[in-house]
Amino acid sequence: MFLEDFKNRVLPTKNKLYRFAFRIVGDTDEAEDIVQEVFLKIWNKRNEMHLYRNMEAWCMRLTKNLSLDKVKSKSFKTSRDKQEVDLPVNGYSPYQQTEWNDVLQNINDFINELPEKQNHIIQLRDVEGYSYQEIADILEVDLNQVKVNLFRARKTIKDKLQKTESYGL
Amino acid sequence: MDFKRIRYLLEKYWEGETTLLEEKELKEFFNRKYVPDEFREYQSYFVYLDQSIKITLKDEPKLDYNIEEVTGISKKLKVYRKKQSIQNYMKVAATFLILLVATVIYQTEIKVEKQPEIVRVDTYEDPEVALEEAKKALLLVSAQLNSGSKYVVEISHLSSANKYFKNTKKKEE
Repeated sequence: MFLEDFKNRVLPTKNKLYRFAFRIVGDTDEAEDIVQEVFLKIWNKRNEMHLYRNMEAWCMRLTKNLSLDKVKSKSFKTSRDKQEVDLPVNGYSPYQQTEWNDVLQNINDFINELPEKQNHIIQLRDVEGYSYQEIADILEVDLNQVKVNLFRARKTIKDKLQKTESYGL
Repeated sequence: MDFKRIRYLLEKYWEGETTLLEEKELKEFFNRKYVPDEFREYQSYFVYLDQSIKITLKDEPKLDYNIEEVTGISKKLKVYRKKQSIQNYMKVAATFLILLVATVIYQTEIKVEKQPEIVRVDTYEDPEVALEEAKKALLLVSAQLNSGSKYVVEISHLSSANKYFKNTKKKEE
C-alpha cells in the first residue's frame, strides 16, 4: 500500500521538488540532497500518508522548509549571486543562444532579488502553475497573501523588464 | 492572431488576475519564434518560464537508486510476511489433517475390535464332545506345567540357607 502510494504519488514530484529547492538554495547538489531528504522523511512518515489530502503540496512544503533550513544553517556556503542558470533555448544560432542565455540569466536574477515570499510564489505560480489555494497550502499563508505577493512580484518584474528593454535600445 | 486578446490577457496578467489557463495561453504565445514588436519586451520572461520548467534533476538514477535502497527493505519485509502467512495456513491445514487421520484410525480400530464378537461361532455342536476336547487341552497344559515345576522345586532348596542365617541372627540377639 505505502509503496504503491509512494511510487505513484510521491516519486513523480521529484523534478518539481528539485526546481523549488534549487530556487531557494541556488545549488544543484544541495537541491538534489534536499529532494532525497524529503523523500526519506516522507518514507519514514508513511503511516501518516493517508492524512494528507494533497500529497504534492505536502512534499512541496517539506521541500520549502528543508531548503530554508539549509540556507539558514551556518555551514551553507553557496552565495546566491553565484547562481547560474543553464537554459538552452532551441532553434537559434550559437550567437543568439548566448544572447538568450544572458537575457534569461538576467531574469533569473530579477526573480532571485525578489523578497523571499514573492520569489517562492513566482516559482510556484508562474513556473509550476499551481493554483492559489495550493500555493497557500504549500507556503502556509492565507489566500490573500498569495494574491498580494504575486501582484507585487509581477509588478517588479514588469518594471525591470521595461527598464532593461529601454537600456538595450 | 488576435493581438487584442493578448493585450487584454497581458494587462490582466500584470494585475495578477489571470487564471492558470490564460497564463498558459500567454506562455504559448510568447514562446513562438516571432513575437510582434509591441510585446517583445515581455517575451524573455515567458521564455524564461517555459525553459525553467524543463530543468530536471541532474542525477536522477542516483536518486532513484538511493530511494529504492531505502524502500526496498520494506519489499523484502512484505515477501517475508507473505511467506509467514502461508506457513500459518500450512500449520492449520496440518492440524486438520492430523485430526482427520486420528478420527479415521479411531473409527476403524473400534470396528476391528467389534468384528470378532460378530464373527465368533462355536466350533463344536455337541457340548459333551466340547468338554472332552477342553479337558484334553487342559491336561496337556498341566502335564507340560508339571514337567517344568520339577526344576522349580530344586530352586526352592536355595532358600534353606536363608532359614539358617535367620536362626543365627536370633541367637545373637
